[in-house]
Amino acid sequence: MTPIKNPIPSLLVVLLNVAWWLVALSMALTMCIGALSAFSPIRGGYFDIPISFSVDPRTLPVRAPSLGIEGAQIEHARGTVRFSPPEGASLVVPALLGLVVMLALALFVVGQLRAVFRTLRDGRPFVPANATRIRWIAFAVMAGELGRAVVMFSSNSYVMTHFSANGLRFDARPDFNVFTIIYGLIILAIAEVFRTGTRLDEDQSLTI
Amino acid sequence: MAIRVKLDHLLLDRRITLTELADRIGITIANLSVLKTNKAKAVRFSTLEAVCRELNCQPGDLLEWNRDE
Repeated sequence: MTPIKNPIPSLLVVLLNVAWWLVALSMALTMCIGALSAFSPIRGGYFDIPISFSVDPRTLPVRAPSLGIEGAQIEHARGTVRFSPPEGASLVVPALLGLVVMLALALFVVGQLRAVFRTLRDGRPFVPANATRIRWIAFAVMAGELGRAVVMFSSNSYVMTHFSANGLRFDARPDFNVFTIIYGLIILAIAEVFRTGTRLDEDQSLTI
Repeated sequence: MAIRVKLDHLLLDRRITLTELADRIGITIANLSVLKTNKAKAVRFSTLEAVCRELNCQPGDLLEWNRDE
């Protein structure tokens, strides 16, 4: 059977190629900055660290007079704290290391997606390798979410330990998104359906 | 697989080449080769009928079951 060329997968392959190179370049750049910072400390610039905080109702009372609500509280608000790192603070290397790990994961996912869309572009998507690739994408999505939760918790803990503000109470929460894990499980289920599809396709192609 | 296709023996007996049989029954040589080399996972009744008709044989002459394989 002659493979049918489809323009949409071709376009997506081009976009994924661009994305892959962008992520790869970002990763290389991050690693270079990390290596440079080991020899000479980086001056200037600032850090944005995700925070979770609650507002002291005595400092900032929240009310809704039209609804007759008094003494409402702002709890577990999300935001970032921006600051210039003090000299000698060992923040750059762990931050860049975390960034490199996340970029490596993104590179892996984009690489797998690119390979899947290449087979789709060539008109032969039902190959066993694609089922494995989709499965790895699912694992990467779930691992990425777990990693993000760990990073959030670590940065929240860091801010909670070192920072203070009048009327604000910093807290440490992992901000674990269950829906992303569910998406990962859905992709995993699709991978298994795909694997069955490849078996059926193989059976079909070997039926004479 | 325990089922073996004895197409090569039948072709030898009938002095017919694979290309000739492919032409007669309207199946590509590639597909017939898959059948001959025992790589096929299933055989359609229509294929079986066409092969038996052209080789003047029974389906049992074409297929063989081996317990050990």
